[in-house]
Amino acid sequence: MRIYSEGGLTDNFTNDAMVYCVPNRADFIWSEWEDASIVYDPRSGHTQVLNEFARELFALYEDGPKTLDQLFDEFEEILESPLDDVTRKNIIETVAGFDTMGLIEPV
Amino acid sequence: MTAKSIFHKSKKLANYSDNELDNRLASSGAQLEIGPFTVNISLGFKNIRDEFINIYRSYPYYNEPVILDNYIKIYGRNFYRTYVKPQAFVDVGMNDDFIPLPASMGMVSLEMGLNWQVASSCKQYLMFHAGVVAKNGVGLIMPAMSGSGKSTLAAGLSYKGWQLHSDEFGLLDLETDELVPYPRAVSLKNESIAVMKEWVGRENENPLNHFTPEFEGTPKGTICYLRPPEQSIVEMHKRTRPNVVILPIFDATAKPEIRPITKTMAFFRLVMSSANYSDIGVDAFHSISRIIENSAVCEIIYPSLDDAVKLVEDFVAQSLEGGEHV
Repeated sequence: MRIYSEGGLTDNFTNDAMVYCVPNRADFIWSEWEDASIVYDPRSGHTQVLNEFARELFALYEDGPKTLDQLFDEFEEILESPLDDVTRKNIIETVAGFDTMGLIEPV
Repeated sequence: MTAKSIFHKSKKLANYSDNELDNRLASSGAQLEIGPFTVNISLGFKNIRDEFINIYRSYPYYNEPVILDNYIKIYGRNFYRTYVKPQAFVDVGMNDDFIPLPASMGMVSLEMGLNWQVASSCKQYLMFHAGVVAKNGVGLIMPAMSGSGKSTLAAGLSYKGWQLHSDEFGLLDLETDELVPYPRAVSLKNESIAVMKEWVGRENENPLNHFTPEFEGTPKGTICYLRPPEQSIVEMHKRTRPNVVILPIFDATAKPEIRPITKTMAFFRLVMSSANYSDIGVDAFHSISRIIENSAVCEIIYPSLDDAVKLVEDFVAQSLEGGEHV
């Protein structure tokens, strides 16, 4: 079990040309609460918690495979404003966390 | 008194005298029922048998063969370790090397051996390292680390009218979402021993009869075992659905307080306290989700047992009044 929120992991995740997606056979199971979403991965048996920010990002990956740049663009559309450096950094760290936890994988 | 229940695995319960029970324990073993588990116990030392009988006298015993869930034998390995420098060796029917304790601490070996068996083999119930009690339809789970006072709190509540499910192993039936009582002897450590002797003494004329001797110098310090209240033994098959989760924190210098926590935090405290969550997998995830969904949750910080019991009962009463979940 790992608990994740934005800024929590510091893995290198700098190759913004790579396309990442939610694994087809993951069949994640969700338990949604007011303050967070809890996801169970039947493949690994791991349970992880995503805060609202991370859940929003992950939902974009659930919509389809994308690069980091595409993720930035889509998130800007949601926010209806350009991303500042802090938010970009948080997104990178959050996506790196998804990768580490096996929630996403390279296409 | 022997507990009666339609859920016993056999209707032929034994009604042993102390002497007969001692003979059984000293030979092939006595088969008794503790909650959902049946265990065969044989004890090779007289002092352990006396202590065991004092604690487990009123549990249901079988006088005919039944299917066993657990098996434990405490014995002296040879003449020297039986009569000269007695040591309590533990045999649980598997190839596990328990460090033998002096026979004077044989009750500790027995309880720890039983703990090990249940913790390592129980897959049919979702198991929480938690104190669990119930009362009037309230099923209360108190997940906590060792040293947080959960055993003392569970014992304290049980000697104030709550049904003791366990001070150590909360068991959840995955099919019915009910808490399954497993009322073993309560393991008290160090300062909590005097606290519970005083607590039990408030309501009982001979409180020391409820306790084993104190075992000093164990890896966990001084240990003493407390017999569950008689009513909890009688009701060892009475199940309750969980609807309150409280995280207890003992702090001798703290001001008693009920602190709100998020459902997410309560969820993860249950996950972290479960010894077999990973083994059970997705069903465990769903069960804990349902528990949290249907439960009022909080954290209590308390400096004394009186404060802790009051905080628990206040929180339960508030939850009932508010109509939230409980």
